[in-house]
Amino acid sequence: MNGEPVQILDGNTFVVSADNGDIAASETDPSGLFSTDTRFLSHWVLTVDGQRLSALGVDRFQYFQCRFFLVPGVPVQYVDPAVSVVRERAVSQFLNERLIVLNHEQEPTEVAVRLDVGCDFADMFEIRGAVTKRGICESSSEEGRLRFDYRRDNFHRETVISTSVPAQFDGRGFSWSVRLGPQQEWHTDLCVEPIVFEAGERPMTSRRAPDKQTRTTADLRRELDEWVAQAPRLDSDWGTLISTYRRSVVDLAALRYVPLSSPGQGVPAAGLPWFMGIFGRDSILTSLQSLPFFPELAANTMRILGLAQGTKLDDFREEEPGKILREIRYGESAAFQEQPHTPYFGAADSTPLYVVLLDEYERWTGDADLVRRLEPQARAALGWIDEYGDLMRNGYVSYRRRNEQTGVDNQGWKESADSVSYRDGRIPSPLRATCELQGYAYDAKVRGARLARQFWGDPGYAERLEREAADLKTRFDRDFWVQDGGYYALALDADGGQVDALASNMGHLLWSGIVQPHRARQVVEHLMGPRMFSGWGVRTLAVGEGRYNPVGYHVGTVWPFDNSFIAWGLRSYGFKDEAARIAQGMLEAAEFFQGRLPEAFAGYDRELTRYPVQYPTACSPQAWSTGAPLLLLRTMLGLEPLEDRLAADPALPPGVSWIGLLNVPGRWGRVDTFGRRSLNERG
Amino acid sequence: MHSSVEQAEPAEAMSSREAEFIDELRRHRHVGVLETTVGTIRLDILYGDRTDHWLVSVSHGDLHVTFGYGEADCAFQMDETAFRRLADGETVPFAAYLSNEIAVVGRFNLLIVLQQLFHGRPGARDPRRLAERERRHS
Repeated sequence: MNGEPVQILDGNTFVVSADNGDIAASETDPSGLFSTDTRFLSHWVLTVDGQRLSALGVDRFQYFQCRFFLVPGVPVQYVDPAVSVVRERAVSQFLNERLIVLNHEQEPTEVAVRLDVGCDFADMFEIRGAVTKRGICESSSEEGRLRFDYRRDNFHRETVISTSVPAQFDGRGFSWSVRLGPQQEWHTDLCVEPIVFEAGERPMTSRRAPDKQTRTTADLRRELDEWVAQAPRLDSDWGTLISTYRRSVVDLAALRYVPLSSPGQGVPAAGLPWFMGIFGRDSILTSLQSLPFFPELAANTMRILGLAQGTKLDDFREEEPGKILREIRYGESAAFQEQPHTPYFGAADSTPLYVVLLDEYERWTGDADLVRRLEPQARAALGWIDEYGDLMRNGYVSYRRRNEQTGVDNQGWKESADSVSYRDGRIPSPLRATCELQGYAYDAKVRGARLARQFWGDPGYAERLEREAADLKTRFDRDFWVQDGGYYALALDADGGQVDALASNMGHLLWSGIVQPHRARQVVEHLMGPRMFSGWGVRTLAVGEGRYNPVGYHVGTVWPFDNSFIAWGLRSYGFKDEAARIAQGMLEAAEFFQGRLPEAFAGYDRELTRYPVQYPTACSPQAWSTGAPLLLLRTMLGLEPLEDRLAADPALPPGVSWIGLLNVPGRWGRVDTFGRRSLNERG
Repeated sequence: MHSSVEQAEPAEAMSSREAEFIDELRRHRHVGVLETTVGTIRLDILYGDRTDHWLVSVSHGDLHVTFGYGEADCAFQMDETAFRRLADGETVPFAAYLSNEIAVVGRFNLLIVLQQLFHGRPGARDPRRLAERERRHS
């Protein structure tokens, strides 16, 4: 495979292939047809007269549809191929593929078309290693279909492949002997059906409403058109902003995931293709970013996460009463409890962020009903902050995994094992209270107080939460402020000592409002200074720290989502120009990725590389990177709900004259908002 | 409205694990996070050729448990082994659904309610105590 992998999807059914459309999964090539966290197709290789095909081009025209233009063998310049092939692929629960073979000659010809297929039924957690299944795989052919079957105890998955033009079958694929007249074409339609059986051999799809059991490409097209039509309209003299915004709107549609428990309610999944499922943190943060545009995502996210809120202690799943989950999975490793995702609760940030989202949602939408309905969940979440979240009983939210085998080390957004360190690069013992968690807890209390007073009729509780928030703010400043550095420590360790590396976690503190006003200037100078600001955005870890590495996942790269929240925080402390600088850096970076910001890019100085170097990762688009331009847009326009109207206080980057955002939904109905740079500021 | 046929509980036939679990459920009358949920679930527990039915209605966090068959928004069908595994916390309803140890017939979101009625894995530790021990040893 030479080019980029090609992926298309519908919900959590997706296909990842090479740029010629082939799937040849191996330990180093995690491609395939996936559904419900299982690989239903691991081999799907087309040959013509025994030759593999090469891509002349790929038309990726929708997230659920693409087309491959191919020639047999290696394309040679100045030699016109006698035969070419087009694969038209769409996914809508099934994988549908039309194979078209074209004869370009004036003479008739006969070609042998062969499609090799294979299914390994790998679980999502097996695809990056050798797949060794515990159950039994079998294949059979019948009435024009090839059937692959996997069983382990009662667990049962099946792949059924059919072709419209009869083929010769063997256990490993289809063969057609195709006769083509001069300049004639031939085609066959293939359908691959991934089937998940529930108990009693009932297909899981039968849970969906009858009209939703089979979705066609036309249904998907219509749903996408409706989604785009309801999005606010953006106008500006900044072309990149418009194209990035359009990309984000479409990608957010692709990222909607409808869980079984809540038919018809889409929530933002974390990322394509490997994280198409419910992730507490990712769904909450993406809902926050997209509130001014698609507020229903927030409502769906809160309903679903609230329904599955923790009620008991469970070490394997790291569940605690009141906790909001990290992740749900549907595959074999979850079913047989080899992985803890049923659900897994190993996140210390999703619970306070749940309360933050609930309040922010009400401020935008005025949906008091939902705030009242989710009162028990919000109270339980606030309770968790003070009870199970306060592991060291020192008034700070901290984490320490209890599932030593399959749990996550770091339970904030920077999950990798080396993301929390001292300046000299040492890693603290596993019990940690990272700074941003304290910011989220503070914000949850402040916002919880507003909800208690205005909607739950409990002024006593509101006062208590406010007292606790004020106390937390004072203690936090005393315990986390690094005197000789002039910034907030990344974390406190098990002894209450400062884990003193300078990291972007501090940027979220501004958003949460826990930063003492007299400290804000110093915090901002660090964030926008040369050690942290790369020219594109704020690095996850400052240059000069022991573990700094410009291409280290959480120790030096620049994350668009992280930057969008930092910019929001800068705005709320009055640092408008700095927020606009981040917005500008991010959107200029997006230009290099056709408007689709990656999960992260390298922390090299912008001056050095001139273009943002993408961090190698399989996930694109990623939900919170897709949401980043939306939050940056809100930040540049200075949009804030103010009682029943939408207030705007624009601060545009230099060179941008105007931005108009029309039809912004909210408690005011729909309104238009404009930002203009005055003539004397024009830069 | 759901009709239910209340029957005398089959004291001798019911497994001791079942009796214990139902007792516990009855003691545990209110579940805070279920305050937003209304619905009736039925447990169908298969013992060879006999099936025990339990109806658990959830209304704003209050649980009401009765023995006997009745209409429900969602029925969970399982054999004796699956029931024991759930009651002992060896598995949880969501994992048992994925591995087809239990059949879920009806409103799927009530599976999450069921999940909240069972324990997790036995021997769970309070994370605060664990942290305290670790701090003492460090």
